Amino acid sequence: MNKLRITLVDDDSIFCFLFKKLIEQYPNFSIDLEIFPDGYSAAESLRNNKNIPQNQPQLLFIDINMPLMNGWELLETIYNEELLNNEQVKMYIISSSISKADLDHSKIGIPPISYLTKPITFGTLFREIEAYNSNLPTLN
Amino acid sequence: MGFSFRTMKTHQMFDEINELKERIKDFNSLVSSIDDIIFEVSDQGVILNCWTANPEQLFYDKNFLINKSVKELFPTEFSNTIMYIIEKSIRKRTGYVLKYKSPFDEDHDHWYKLKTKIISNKFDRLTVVITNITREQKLLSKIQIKEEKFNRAFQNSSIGMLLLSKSLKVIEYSMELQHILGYNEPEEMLKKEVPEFILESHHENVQVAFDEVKHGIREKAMIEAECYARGNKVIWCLINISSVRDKHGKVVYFLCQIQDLSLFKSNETKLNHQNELLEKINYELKVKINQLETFNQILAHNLRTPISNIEMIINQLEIETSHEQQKNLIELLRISNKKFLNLFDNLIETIDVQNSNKNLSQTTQIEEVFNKVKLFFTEEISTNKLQIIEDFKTKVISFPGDYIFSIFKYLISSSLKTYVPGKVIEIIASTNENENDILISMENNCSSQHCFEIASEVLNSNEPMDENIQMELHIAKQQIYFFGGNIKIFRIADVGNKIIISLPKSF
Repeated sequence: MNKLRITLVDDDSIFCFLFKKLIEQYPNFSIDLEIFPDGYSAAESLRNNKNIPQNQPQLLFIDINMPLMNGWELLETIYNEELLNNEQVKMYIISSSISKADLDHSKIGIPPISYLTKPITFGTLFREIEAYNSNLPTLN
Repeated sequence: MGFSFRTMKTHQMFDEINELKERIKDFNSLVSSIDDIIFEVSDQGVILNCWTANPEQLFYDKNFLINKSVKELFPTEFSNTIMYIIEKSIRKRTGYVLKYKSPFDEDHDHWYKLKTKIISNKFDRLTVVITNITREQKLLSKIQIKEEKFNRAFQNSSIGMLLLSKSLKVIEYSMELQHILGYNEPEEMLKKEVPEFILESHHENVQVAFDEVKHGIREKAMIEAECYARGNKVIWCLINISSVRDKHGKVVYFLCQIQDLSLFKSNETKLNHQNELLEKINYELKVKINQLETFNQILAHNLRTPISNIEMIINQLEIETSHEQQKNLIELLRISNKKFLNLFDNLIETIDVQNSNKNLSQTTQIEEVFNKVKLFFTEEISTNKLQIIEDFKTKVISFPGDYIFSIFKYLISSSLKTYVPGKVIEIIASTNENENDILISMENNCSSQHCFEIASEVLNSNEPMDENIQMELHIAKQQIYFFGGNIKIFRIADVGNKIIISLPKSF
């Protein structure tokens, strides 16, 4: 793989900065990171690239609590509008919430989605990237 | 001449005999049309003659009876009674009546009426008329049994019984009713009419119930009413009204069954009170649960956000070599720490307020809430920066007053930010209601269309709490949504901005 396309949807600018720093330190190959501050703008971008697979993210990290459109609403939109090919894209909820309701929501969602709790470390993030790269599921 | 005279006399006698024969024929014909048995009886009790349309009623052959004494025909005790009546009738020159059961075993279930009649020009005999009254007597017996049953049911009933005339005057009542109403003397109640027993506020309902039964709208009516007992004591009674009608269907009497509901009402009042308490506790618990859920959400997400950022910053700092980047990270560390402290302080403050909150009552007097709002903005009102107009059509709101206060306070504060000297900020606060909801609205005269913009972001949708937003407002919003309410914010062209909070009437 030459370049991995990752998208982060999060309204917390500090976390976005730190996430970017983490990605920049990934040693194995270069990564294109795109960041959206809310679900609405992320959905718009995915709609625009619906039929352009090379512009779609391969790994998608979504925060839950966001203005305009929250993480669950964005996932529903992606699913309903078939904005991504779910077989090729790995999606994560990435949230500081440790609420059982949020965790349960991720398990019973359609489709069920992996849940990463903030803070994110090198280890966690790089393991997911490596797992995707070797096509080995690690979470769920 | 002599022959002629005799011939005339013979003719005359012959005519008289014929006439007499005709009269006897008429008399027999008349007797045959009567169901009774008529005897001509001497003062010694000897049957001189008898007539009947049904000879089998005599039990004996007519010829056998003639010249027989009643003593020969009937048992001693019975014949003595008959003789006594005959003797007394002739002596007193008046008729007597005796009802008796047949003295013969073969006829023991038959009843008869014996009636003596004086013959005007005879002093040694009289007429005795015997009538078979078995059927009447059986009917009478049935009536008596029914009457007895009714009387027993009426008097011995465990609930109060009252018989009224059609004009609702007391005719008769049971001991139990006397006991319920505390009367000692029957006359005390008999002197009264029904309305005198009923509390004035129930007169109309009771009268309607009687009228409906009277006019056949209802066969019976059941009504709860407060009644006056002796000594003007008031007790709750259940009155069951029915009617007794004549053969034409017109009401002759009203029959009322009356039960003392005092104990039931007392228990009902206690249960209602307990139910109200339970509802209040249930309501307060719902509010508290929602508070806890909101706090949980704040703790689980909002507070963890800066903390998790801090940990990531520290991790980054450990490997960061660029001095410039280290400075940036330290600045982010400060920001995150400050954000955490702000949220934490805000949470502690809000929890303190919530814990000291004694006003979670289900009902809120909106005017009281607004007096609190006006007190909060006393300075702005006294310096003519702010004018508040109230139009509360609905006075009582089913929602905790403190949350309404938080929202009002925030909205007025937002409006005051647009104040320019010379233009008073005018706030119109009103309440109204439709079929399902209570509507609380607030309108301002702020020309800036951004005036309620922040409010719109905070209140108009189920947005996550931003650290800059007052936590109490966030909780107030959560409570409104939790109870099935909603908030609408819109601009009124050339006037200002308006917010409408709608709350369901029942949760």
